[in-house]
Amino acid sequence: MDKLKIFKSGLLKDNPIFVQLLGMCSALAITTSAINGIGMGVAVTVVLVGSNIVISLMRKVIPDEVRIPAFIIVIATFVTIIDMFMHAYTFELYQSLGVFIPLIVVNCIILGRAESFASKNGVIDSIIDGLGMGVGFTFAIVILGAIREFLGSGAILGFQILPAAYEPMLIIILPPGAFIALGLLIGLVNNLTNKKKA
Amino acid sequence: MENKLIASSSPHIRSEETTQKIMLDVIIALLPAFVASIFYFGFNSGVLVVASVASAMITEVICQKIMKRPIAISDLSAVVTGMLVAFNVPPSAPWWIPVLGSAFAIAIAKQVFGGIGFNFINPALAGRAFLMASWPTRMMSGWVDPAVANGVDAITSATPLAIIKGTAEGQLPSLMDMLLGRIPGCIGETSAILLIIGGIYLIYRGVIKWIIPVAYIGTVAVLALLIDGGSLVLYHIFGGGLMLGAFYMATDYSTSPITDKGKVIYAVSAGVLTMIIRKFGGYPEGVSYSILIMNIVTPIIDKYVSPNLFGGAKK
Amino acid sequence: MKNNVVRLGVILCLISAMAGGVLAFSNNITKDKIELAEQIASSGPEVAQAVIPGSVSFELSEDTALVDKIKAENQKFVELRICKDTSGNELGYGIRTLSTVPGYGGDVEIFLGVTNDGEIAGMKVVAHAETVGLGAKITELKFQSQFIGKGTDSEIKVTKSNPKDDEIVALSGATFSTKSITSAVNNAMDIYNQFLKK
Repeated sequence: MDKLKIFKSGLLKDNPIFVQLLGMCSALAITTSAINGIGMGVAVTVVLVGSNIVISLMRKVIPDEVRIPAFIIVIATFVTIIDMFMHAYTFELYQSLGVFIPLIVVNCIILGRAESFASKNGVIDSIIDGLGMGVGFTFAIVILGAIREFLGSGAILGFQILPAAYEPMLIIILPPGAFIALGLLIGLVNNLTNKKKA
Repeated sequence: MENKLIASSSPHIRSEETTQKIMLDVIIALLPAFVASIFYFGFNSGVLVVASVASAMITEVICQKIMKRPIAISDLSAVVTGMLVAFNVPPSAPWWIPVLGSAFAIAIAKQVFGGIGFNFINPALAGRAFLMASWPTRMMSGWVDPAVANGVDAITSATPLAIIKGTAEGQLPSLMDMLLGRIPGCIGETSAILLIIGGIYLIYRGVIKWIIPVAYIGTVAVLALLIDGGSLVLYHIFGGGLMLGAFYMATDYSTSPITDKGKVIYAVSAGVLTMIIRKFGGYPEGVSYSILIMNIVTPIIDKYVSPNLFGGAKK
Repeated sequence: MKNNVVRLGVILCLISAMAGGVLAFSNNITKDKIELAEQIASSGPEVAQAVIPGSVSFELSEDTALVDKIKAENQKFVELRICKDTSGNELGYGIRTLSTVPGYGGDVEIFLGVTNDGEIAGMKVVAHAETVGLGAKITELKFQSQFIGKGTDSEIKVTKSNPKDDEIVALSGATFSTKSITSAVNNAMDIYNQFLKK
């Protein structure tokens, strides 16, 4: 299989957020700022690549009957490691992401890739697949986070862009804003990709 | 020669009623309250209403252009939405508040879901909820007390409902003022008498049915009597957005039940929710949220109180 | 059949054991770092500086009998710290307490700094779950500075405007949050008056 194609499919064609609508829980809950999006995106990418490597390596050893519990153990291990390291080295980010780091365990993207890709393909392809999906996920939630942070506080990545007179649109950083912003983004992406096909 | 014999599929009998005519009636019914608001609250409320209507119409055109739908601005529904959004805003709000509220109401609550007739919640109330969540301080302060001479003192935080709830201090206005609308409140919600006249006009013209307003206001009145006692009943009825909500927003065709029985369930539930929010909620006023909640419940009501088919077996 | 169950069990056991090993290893690396980060966040020099300006050390009170007594009588009390400056002079107390009136998102937890003269010197919100953009403004210095300089003699009350000496102005749109944090301050002042005042 063409390596570039695997990578690109995660970026746009099968983008986990915009197209597959997977991992919504973390994507909606933590994207109140762009930095949160980056932190969550990197954490998910690392877990995704890691679990893809291990599962692809062990795909011939793991019996079919217990593959789901085995996958979950592998994923949970990587998530716990990430959780510890973020706790130790990026404390502020760790606090603002809160419970959503441990919740990466149940993020469907990771189990989905393990089941549908890594357990059937070689290590190199699985790494590329994990990277593509991870980057696609990161890209999507950073955009979402940036939009919400910009409208909700007039800043992006903490840099004030709009003048102080701007009165933030609070709804956008509250839960309903997450749904509205994501819905409009998906509409935009669909519009763009449909045009390409035509 | 005009050809009167048209061969077409059913329905063959068409009503003269068009969306445009209905909306025009609603606008006529709302005009007295609009004029009264300028009289009571000053020039700014006029500016807000005009800005809001303009924003609603522009947003409608832009959305219909983008979505490649026919431009249906002449059905006047955007004008009504714009007016209702502005009616739900405090009189001393800055101009961009109703402008953004109307844009949200039209773009997100109406056009995204398919335009007129397809919205699942009342666009104007969605616009208000959006404004309440986004700029709560702008939406919950800056009331103007028309009973006080113009000046700094006229700005108050005490609407009658806030006084009843105890979140603001002040003297309850006289009942006559409540009826006429000489009280602090949102632009279009205070003149109870003018809103009732407008509502009766709409019922007379057959634009709305009497069931929803009567059941809604009646429920609130009964509950107010039971909870707060006889002296406050009229304050509960005239003090907030109940008149505006019951006549003009709860009766929205696409977001209220079809059958009469369904309408009663819908309106009584809205009344109960309103009083629950007023008594136990964080805000002094609950009309807008209770109507929004019942908007969402409407499809379920319609499902369970659908009329029996003519000739169908009785259940 | 029976053999198969045993085989699957053994494989899962092996995977879990490997996961356990990896986790133990990374726990070993991050353990100390996490402890340090937690300590800095909850009682590091930054917190000490906010609670009583000028203090650098922020040690738990060694008078365990007193702390136990406060704990027994005041359920919202969390811990007592002593603020010292560079030369080791005691500047006052840092009293950590929960609010007695819940805010929108449950109890607010604060450190209140009380100087030896019985004046509020500063505060730090340790934990809260108030609404972003509204109630979360209780963490801002602009709001908190209202408390600074007030005496502990009379209870602080919340008002909408024109505050008197023992009153503070509520955050607009966030009266509940304001009342909650004020109740925490009042509770800390009670503790000071009851147990610590000399």
